[in-house]
Amino acid sequence: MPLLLLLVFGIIEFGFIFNRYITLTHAAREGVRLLAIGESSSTATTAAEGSGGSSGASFGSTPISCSASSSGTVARTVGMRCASTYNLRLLDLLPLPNAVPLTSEAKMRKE
Amino acid sequence: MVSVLVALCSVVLFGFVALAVDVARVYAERSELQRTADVSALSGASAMAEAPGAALPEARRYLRDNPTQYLSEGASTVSLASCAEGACVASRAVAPDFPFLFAGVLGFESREISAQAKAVAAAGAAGGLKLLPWGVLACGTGPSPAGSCGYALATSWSGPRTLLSFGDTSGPPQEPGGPARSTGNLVAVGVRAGTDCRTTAGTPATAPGYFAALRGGRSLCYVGSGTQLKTLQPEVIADGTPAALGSRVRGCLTQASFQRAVYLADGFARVNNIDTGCLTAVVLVRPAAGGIAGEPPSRVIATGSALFYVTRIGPDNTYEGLLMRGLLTASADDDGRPCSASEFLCVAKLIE
Repeated sequence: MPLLLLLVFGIIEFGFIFNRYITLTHAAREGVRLLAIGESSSTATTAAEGSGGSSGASFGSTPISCSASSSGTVARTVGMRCASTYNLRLLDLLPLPNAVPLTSEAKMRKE
Repeated sequence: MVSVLVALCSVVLFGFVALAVDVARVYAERSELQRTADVSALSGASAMAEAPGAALPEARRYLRDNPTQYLSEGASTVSLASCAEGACVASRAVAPDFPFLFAGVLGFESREISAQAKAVAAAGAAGGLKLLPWGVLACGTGPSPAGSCGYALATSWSGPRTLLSFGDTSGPPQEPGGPARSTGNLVAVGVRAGTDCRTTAGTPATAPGYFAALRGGRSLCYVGSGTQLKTLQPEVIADGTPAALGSRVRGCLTQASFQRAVYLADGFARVNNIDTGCLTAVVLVRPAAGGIAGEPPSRVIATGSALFYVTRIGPDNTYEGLLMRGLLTASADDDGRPCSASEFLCVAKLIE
């Protein structure tokens, strides 16, 4: 029975983690696209952070935090890095790291 | 007996675990691959608008710059394709050997995961550079003193790129080929230059270079090396990044930048019917409260035409306008010359 519960809880917990990770990926992609078409860093960052909504936030995830970057001549490459932390809730009794840091980054050519 | 049951149940349990965890991992990886393919295709399409030969290297570069844990650059492909919307860049991001964690117990060791995207930049981009640089200055910023804000617009056509028109804050609309009006209020105007670049007076630029309008902020940024525009000062774009003199930038209109620019130029313009990719129609409307008796009616200019004015009211209530051409997907410009889709630069957009 403990093994079964562990597996079930693990499945659920990993589901939340993957969901959050996919949300981060989308947030970074949306943010970098806005940067690429000329929006300001603050606008793009706000949009990226908002694109994830509250998904997962009520179940252990911290809000998405994004930061914009640029590199290259005349800032030709723009980037958006989004991060969030998932805190284990179902498996937190196990000797595992409780906080799972999640990050996703996208880089795009500025048009 | 117990051992047998446990063994049988374990297989089922691992099956469920594999289904839950490995499938989730597959979707997570595919999501990242899709991001990589999208970025690669868009970047390639964007580069294609500048130089067709740059499309694939740029697409490949951004494929490489957006790795996933299992992405194989060697297995991934970028290519030029012919799409209904025009020449496009296709990018396929591949993770050839994505390993399963739990499904391996059931005999599934790995599989290939891929995502693909296609993006188009400009209809007819394969024909060469289609540059539509232009610039606007927000009132009271930059080299223009407060109260005398101005604007400048330029269009380049295919072939020898000639600056058609630009204007400052005063005077009548500048017609193509009209006199230069670099009186100091001119804000941004640009044509990507090589040796075929010409100044506003129609004479060749004295040095290879360019006068470029950089969109990306409230103030458009420009750099220049021609004598006509040497008095211009670099602007600082919205994100605080100053454009270095001599740096290469590209003018490109997007819906967002166009709306912003028109807003700044006119203050009361409204832009309608802009497709997310190409500018398909532009209507500038002067609100009733902003009209001044005796002025020309709202200019526009015309849906379906490749000609329109950007208008604004000057500080002394004079009517100011500027002729623009080449932004509308239309049948002919004011000279009756047929306009082709290849003369319009569009923002890169995903089409698949």
